[in-house]
Amino acid sequence: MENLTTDPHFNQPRPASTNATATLNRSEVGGASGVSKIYGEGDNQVVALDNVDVTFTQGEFTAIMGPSGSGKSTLMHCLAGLDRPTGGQVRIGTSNLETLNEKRLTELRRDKIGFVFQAFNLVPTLNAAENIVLPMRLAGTKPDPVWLEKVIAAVGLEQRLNHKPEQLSGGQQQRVAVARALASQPEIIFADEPTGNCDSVTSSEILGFMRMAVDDLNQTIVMVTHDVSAASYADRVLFLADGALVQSLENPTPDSVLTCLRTLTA
Amino acid sequence: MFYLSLRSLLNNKMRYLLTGLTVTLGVCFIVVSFSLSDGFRQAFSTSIEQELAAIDVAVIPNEVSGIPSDTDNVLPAGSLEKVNKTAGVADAVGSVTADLSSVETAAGDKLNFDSSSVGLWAEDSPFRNESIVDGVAPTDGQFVIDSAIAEQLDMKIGDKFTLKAGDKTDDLTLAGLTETRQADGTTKPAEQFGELVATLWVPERTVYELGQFDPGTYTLILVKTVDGTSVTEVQQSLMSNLGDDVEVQNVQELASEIQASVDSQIAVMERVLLGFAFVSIAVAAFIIYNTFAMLISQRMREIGLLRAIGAGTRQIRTSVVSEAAAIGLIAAVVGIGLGLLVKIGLISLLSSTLDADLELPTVLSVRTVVAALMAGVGVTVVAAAVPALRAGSVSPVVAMSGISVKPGNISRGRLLLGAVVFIVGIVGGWFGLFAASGTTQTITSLAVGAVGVFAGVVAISPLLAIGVSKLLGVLVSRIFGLSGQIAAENSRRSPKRTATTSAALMIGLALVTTTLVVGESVKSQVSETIDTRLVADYAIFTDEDPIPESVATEIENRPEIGISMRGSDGFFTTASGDGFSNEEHYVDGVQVQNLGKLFDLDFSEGRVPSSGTTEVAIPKRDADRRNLSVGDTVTIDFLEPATFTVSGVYQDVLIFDSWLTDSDVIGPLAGAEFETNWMAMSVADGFTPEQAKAVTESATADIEGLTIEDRASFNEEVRSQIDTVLGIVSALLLLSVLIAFIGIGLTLALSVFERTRELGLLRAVGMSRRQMKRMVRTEAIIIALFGALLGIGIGLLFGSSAVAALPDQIASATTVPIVRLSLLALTASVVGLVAAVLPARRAARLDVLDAISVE
Repeated sequence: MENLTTDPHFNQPRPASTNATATLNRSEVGGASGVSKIYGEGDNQVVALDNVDVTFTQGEFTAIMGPSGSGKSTLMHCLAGLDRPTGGQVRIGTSNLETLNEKRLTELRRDKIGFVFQAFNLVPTLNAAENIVLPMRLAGTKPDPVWLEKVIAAVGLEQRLNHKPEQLSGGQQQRVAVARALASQPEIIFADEPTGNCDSVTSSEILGFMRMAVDDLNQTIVMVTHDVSAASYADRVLFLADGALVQSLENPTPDSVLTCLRTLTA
Repeated sequence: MFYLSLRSLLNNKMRYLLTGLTVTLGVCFIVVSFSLSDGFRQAFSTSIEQELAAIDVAVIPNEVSGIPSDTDNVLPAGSLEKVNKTAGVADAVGSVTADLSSVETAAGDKLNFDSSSVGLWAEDSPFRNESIVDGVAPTDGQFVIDSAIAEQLDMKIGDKFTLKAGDKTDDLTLAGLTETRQADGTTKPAEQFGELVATLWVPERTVYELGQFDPGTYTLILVKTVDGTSVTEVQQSLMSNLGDDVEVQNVQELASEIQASVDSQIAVMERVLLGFAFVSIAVAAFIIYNTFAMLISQRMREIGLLRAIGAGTRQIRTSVVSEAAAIGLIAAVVGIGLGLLVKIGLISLLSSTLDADLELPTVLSVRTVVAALMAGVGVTVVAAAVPALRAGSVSPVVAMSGISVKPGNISRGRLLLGAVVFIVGIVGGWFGLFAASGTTQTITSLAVGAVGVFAGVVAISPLLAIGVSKLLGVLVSRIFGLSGQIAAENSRRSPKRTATTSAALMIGLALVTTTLVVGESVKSQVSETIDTRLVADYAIFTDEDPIPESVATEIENRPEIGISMRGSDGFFTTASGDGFSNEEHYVDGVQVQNLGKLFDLDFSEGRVPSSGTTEVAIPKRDADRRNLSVGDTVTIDFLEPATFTVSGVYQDVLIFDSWLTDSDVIGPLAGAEFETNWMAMSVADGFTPEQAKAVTESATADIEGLTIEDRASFNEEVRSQIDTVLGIVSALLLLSVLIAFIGIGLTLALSVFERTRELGLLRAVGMSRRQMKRMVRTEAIIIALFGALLGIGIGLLFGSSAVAALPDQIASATTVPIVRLSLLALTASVVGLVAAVLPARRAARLDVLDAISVE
């Protein structure tokens, strides 16, 4: 709980609910209906995801929480096209993921989705700027310079663009990763425990930046986390247990999230 | 700890398989070298034994110094009678052989022998190894021949043939076929080792006629002693009975003399092959080192865990070394088997190319096995020693903390040491090329030079790798975009790894480049020499028969011919002078008055011999070695010794390399041996070379085996000889280059494995499989090109140094075969691409989810 008291955002008003641009564009950018993921067969069958329905709207910051083994990472992998569900449908933008072959799926990840992982986010041989434009260079497209400048300014790394990842701090590396996810103006950004390896100051730095990306840049972020304070930055928190969506909490605060979790694990 | 090594082996099968393969190939080369030469040795010694089986003593003509030809080497008349009267001789048979110049069918076609002779068919001789297997023994007007040769040349019993020896001819009918008796009583056609050498067995009259021998003389008398007498005693009695004109050898002396001459030739072949095998093994050592270094750095955590739970430094090191030893042992054993298979394959390939039935016993001597095992296990263990030391010194905390071990920095010490070793190599090479005296000193210094340069470059190469891959990176990212850029960055990220992998390729390509550069430089010198110093337009050479006086005169008198010069084949004789005696030299007799008009021999001092004087012009090589200069006298031993004065020292090495004298002077000295064997001539003004050649051809139409060589064909011949050498050297280096490419594949495979996480990330953010493949392939191209550039660079250094050291008459300026070298670099990158196929496929097939969740 010590973390929460040092969090500069703690007890501050939630900007998201009052943000005009965010509320104006509440169109769906992705989601899942009836998604299931079942491993094994017969007696060995393990249900990782059980008929999950979820929708993400533009300019919304969603956190997915749940105890270990609840299926939150599996859900994110299925939503992001990294893994294929055994049942149901996943939508990103106008695409239905189950209809895409491996090649189209790769292109979809490149053009429509941004990723932020817990660690190993950056290609060690490329510098910060090159890492940021990596998906676009892979696609062979030119980044929108105005947008790119905006993103880089927002990340606050203008002075460190030529640095290799090993020359950046952990927080800076994660910020570069978020900038990369933003740079191609994807439909949706998936973040898998983005602050999992960070201390509290760094965590709040990264989460504040993600919040800003949603509020100021009208981006859509889905974040898997087990950190209560991280989840409190989101507009809503989805709780997963045993592969099923059990609760949704709008405008979360650390306290309300904690309460929810307690009732789930109880 | 051994079970850990074993587990590790089983867990990384593919990698170890490929590492082992590099050792196997090197060992295989060693085994082929040894087993080929052992096979040849045994085949020869078996055939010598069989041939000499029934003989106790042989009486042969004493080698008289200065007699240039062996056709007159005949035992004095009455020798056989003297032998028969000697105590202890049970049986003695005289034998005569005479060389043939040609054998023609009734239709006039020449049979395609490499060499042929007639031998006396001694029906009752106990020494005869040939048995008639078809037809009958030869009587007057008939001959018999080995069945394999008859089959190969399509000779049938009853066919008629014309035999020629000098100006003598004889028409004979094939009466029967022979085979050679084997130790076990069976018979077998004679073995032909590459060349078709035939003996036509004929009755007495024919051999005496064709060989122009006096009746009752022999070239060889074979003796069987009475059972129970001492062979040495009989030998002694024969010597005292026959006097100094003959040499008497017992069977051991005979066998060992033949064996020794065969052995020394085989030993040369063996050494050359082993030299190239050594190169392959050295290349394999680089691959092994690299593989182990990478495996150790990938297993840091595991090793750290082992250290944390109590494994000692020594135990870790022992485990790595035993792993290496096990791989080396298995690879060497497989290499031995593969080597024997390759040897058998090579022999049958050779048999079918030469259209001969070659059979070599497959010998696996203890020496071969020991050498193969020592090389295989030794090189693997030594190459793995440094990674093993490093593994042992891993601190448990560092290893377990999950900090990925960065490739170490290139230490200043390493660079400094590399520079020093490189300079030592350069100095050694310089000394070997320019200052060393004596073969041993030269070879030792050159070896030190080559190893020094290679080792120095290997030490410095990581630094070069950074620079070169930066340069190449700019290039490949232009061509391959992002994939190219990441690939280039990768090869710079671990410069040591890139450098070691490239170094393996560098060695083979450096040696190929060296031979290419030297070869091309010699070729262009040859062309220049022919253009500037060869005035004669063409020359005719005879193979066997001399050019008759009448023909030579006819040619000289034709108006189409300008200046012409007759020459004799070099007499192989001995010369003595101040500080040397009985040194063997070739002495040519030419019409010296025209020598200077047809050939510019590039005299460093003096001039051509004057007509009608006992003057001699000698090559600079001999002059330098024996400290001879104009005005010095030398004694040349023809039938009688004669004193000659050095008139000049010439530097040419391409056209002549013999001692040149006036044919009119040495003609009488050499007596009957003197023949005109070649003529050089220029075309008279107003006539075309074609007209002159046509005249010459019609004048010499009756001479067997005459060749006309003009400047173009001479040039072509020298060039094709050089190309043959280049081809052989490249073929022998091919294996080392192949091993190097396996190394590239292996390094990339390990690097793909090591970077799984990173590759997963790239895939997750949208790198397509195709881009992933391209990235891995580009890295292979960079490594291959880097190796090629280093190799070509060193090859240019070696090649130009060698050219500088060679006499100007052989190669005066370095010719860089730019097209061939570019092709070499291009081929290297293409093959590098092929080596990357499997690693690239593996990288492309990585499951994204698995890859990004790898710990």
